[in-house]
Amino acid sequence: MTHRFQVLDELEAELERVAHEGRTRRRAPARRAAGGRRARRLALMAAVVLLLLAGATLALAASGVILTGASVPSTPFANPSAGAGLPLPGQSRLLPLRVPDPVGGLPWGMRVVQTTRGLACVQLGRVGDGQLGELGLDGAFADDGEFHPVGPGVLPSYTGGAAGGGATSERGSCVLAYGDVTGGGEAWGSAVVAEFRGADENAAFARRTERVLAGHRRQILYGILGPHAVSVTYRSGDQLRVVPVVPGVGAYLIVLPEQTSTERESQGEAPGTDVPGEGPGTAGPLVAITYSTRGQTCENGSDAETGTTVAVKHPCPAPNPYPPSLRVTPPGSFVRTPSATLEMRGNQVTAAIVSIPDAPFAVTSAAEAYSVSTSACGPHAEGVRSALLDSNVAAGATVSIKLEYPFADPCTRHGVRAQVIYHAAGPDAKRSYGRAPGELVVGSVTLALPRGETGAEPASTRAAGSLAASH
Amino acid sequence: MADPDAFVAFYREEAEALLLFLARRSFDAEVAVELTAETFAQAWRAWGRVRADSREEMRAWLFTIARRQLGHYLRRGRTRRAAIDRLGMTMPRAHEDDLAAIESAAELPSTRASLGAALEKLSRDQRDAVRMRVVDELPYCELARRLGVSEATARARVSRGIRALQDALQACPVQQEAAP
Repeated sequence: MTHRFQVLDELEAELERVAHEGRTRRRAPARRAAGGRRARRLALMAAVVLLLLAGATLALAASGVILTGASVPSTPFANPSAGAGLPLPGQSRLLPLRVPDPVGGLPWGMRVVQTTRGLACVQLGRVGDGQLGELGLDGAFADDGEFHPVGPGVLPSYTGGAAGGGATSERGSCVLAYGDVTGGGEAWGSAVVAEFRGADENAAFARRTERVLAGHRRQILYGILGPHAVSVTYRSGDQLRVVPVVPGVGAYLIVLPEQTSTERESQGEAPGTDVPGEGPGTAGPLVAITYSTRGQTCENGSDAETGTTVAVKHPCPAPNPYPPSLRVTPPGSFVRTPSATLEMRGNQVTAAIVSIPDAPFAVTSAAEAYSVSTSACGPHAEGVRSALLDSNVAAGATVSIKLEYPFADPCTRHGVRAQVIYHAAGPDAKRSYGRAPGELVVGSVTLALPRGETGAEPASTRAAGSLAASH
Repeated sequence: MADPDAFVAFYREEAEALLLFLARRSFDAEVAVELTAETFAQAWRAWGRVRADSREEMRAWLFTIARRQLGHYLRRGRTRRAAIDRLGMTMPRAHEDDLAAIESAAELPSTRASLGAALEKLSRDQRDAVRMRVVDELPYCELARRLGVSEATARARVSRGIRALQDALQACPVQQEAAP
């Protein structure tokens, strides 16, 4: 017995047994077939070819040259009328940012793509031969060591929706944008400041693996801030560093060695803005954004996490409150009477389909959407459920939204009020009393639990409940 | 040709460190034992093909296999026994006392306490956001509705809360081991 833990001794005995058994079997091989020598020669040739290829790749990589491999596949199931939409032909722009990697190799870069749903999606990657791409390292592309271009059909996944302000995901973010963005247009809807921590040096954000080693991780700060942005200031150790943004789109990209030993990619974002002075804006090591507006330079130092303002020399003036169009809109011709049908599993209600027969407003981009949400009930504001229809809708068309588990919380068992809301971001948005800007209540319906039925709960809630009960 | 004696010697040197490494990351002594067994089973299957110039390289190779097993377990919620089964190994069963000793050596109770304390240190907003997202698995749109903030702000709170927990664990002494 050599170990502190008995189980390791038992495991050692078992490993020793199979190891020696294996050796015994190998020492008494079956008679080799007649073709064995030829097979060995072929195997040897194949090994030599593979070695030559591997050697060539390594030599090329060492000399700064890298082979180009297969392109990253396009986003599957993309729909021009839903989610982020599809890239608009010709509306893709590789920005002139070339940021060195902390340990060398191909520089990092950023691309902005405008989509069929009015979004500007920013994508990150390594840049080779004027193309954005990913590297076959750390488990990506079977470690082939090659450069894999990210074609124009690949978009970051988008889980936002109207007035979401943007969503960070693998490979980048999408934000609402108005007007021509990739051509340098100046009509912007929203902005984003974001960061990846523990990102893999291969830039294959979607294909993280457990094989990423400490020295292969990066901290990446990036964002698009709109046409008024001039520069960003970030903290690096004890120093503050200022980096100019790409004019027009206000893009910046900073790549740092990862300071922690985190093994997983994580990402965060702050709701940025292209309106000077409107916060919150900064996040993580980013401490200030400098804007130029009306001939004056000012800084937005709002902390995205706390909403507090960091001390800056020339703070931007606070923006005006909501424009007149965002004042409460009294109920009018847009009001509808929703209907609801219930989906059952046995005697349990699993979902409610809430419908309005004729949509009062069309949804033509990601700046608009319909949603359903239920009111809070109970002492801890339980019972709130919501669902979003993140796709285009024609005016007058039927809108149906599935709300899952509407009766999961006990306080909803006597009925719960569901509101259909039309969301819109932009200068002509409207709002209802008690709702956030851009949220207009189109109608409401009471969801009633039929007598004798019960409300189904999501699996995770049941698991948490049983866990709590077992302790 | 694979040398079983060299492999057993390698096992004797690395098994305990690997077991504790896996216990600290899986937070479960029994799972760590299973991952250790599968890691060494895979290591033996590749033993004859390994070319390393130093003990450090051998360690790094072993821990890379272990990380892969751990990643699979964290993603799928179960360990795999592919190499154990192929080799026809019988999985040893750890006794309660042994599991308790492993937990103690890996300082899991204090790590759990650190995690609990770190959770308490989060702002209420962040704690609620992390709980709703991680425990309740709420979609961000619903999480935002409950918190009364935009979806982007809800995402930021969850992200920063999880990062604060990561930082707290990395500051914890047991996490500062010299793993390759």
